[in-house]
Amino acid sequence: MNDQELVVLVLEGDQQAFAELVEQYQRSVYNLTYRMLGNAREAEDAAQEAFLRAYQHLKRYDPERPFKTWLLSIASNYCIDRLRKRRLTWLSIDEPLPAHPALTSNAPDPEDATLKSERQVAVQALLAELAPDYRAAVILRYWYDMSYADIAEMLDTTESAIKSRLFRARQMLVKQLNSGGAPGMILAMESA
Amino acid sequence: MMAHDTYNLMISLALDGQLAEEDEKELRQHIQGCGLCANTWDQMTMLDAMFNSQAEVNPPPDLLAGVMAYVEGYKMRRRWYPWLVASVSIISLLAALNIAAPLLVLSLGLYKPMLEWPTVSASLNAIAQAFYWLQAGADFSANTLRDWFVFLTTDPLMLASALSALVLASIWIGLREGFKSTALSLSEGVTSQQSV
Repeated sequence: MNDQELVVLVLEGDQQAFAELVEQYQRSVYNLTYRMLGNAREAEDAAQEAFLRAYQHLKRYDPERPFKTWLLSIASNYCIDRLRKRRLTWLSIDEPLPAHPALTSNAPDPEDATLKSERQVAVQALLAELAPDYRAAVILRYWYDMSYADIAEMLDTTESAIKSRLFRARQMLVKQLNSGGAPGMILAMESA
Repeated sequence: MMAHDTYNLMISLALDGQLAEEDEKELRQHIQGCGLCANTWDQMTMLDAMFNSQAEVNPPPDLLAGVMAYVEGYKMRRRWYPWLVASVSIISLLAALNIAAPLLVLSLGLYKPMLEWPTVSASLNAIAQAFYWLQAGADFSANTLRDWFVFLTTDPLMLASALSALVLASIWIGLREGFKSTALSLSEGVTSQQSV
């Protein structure tokens, strides 16, 4: 059964059909929210919220468009809003720091896991330097291999704006690399 | 000759495969002769490789269950929400009517014609009568109690008699209850001895 058929079933009240859609796209949505927000707990919350928003607005979904693109556009716009709000929020000093990914990894080889996680930490640190709009464009370009046109549609802007955002984002990231950058950056670049 | 910024933009486009063949040729020629742009090319290419080599992260195993529970909660709220809104609206409306209606009746003098309605008039009369009798009963009780109190306090012999009567009555009640409990325990003792 394809996505459009599942959407029709969900609109008719079939909860199981929605569960199938979630199962199919949870990986994509979670990866996007994780890259955007940089920590697992927030990423999980954001993924849940994105799926709920999709469910709430399913009637507005245009079956001509791929469901995945529509879903990811909801997730990315939600993350952008969340990041903008986060800037205005005071962080509590009592909040525990997130665990290093190597410590929570289930990979069999700890050394390999540590290297991978070092790279991940470095990439996340680089992404964290970017403004939410720029971050979304970079993530959709690299991790989802989307065209400028698709990214523009998803972020409700023009292709030339995306062209410019990706260029500015790259400039900022290069500047960040030249200034010493985030911890583990050199290792990440060497192993890339 | 274009500015470095323009070539940098071309580098970004080239990395995304968005640069025309002719422009790419021009970019490569420029990079060969410009150390600054060559450096930018190297760094952006390195960034590109670094991002492209990133593996996907695994979603938490309970994400699906979490999403479905979240959606179920939303459906529940949506089911109750219209009822909640309707209830609050009706209560608000009744409260507003409760305040506005008497004010309107009094301020516009609507109560005058209402008094002429036989049922309303009879009901109001009955309520007024009931209040009258209630008040009369309360007055009588209060007056009687007051008279008794005045009588007892102004006549010491009567007060002493009343107090003596109360003391004797309480002694009599105490003795009677004492005899009853003694008789009961004695009969229980006899019954238990017989059963043994």
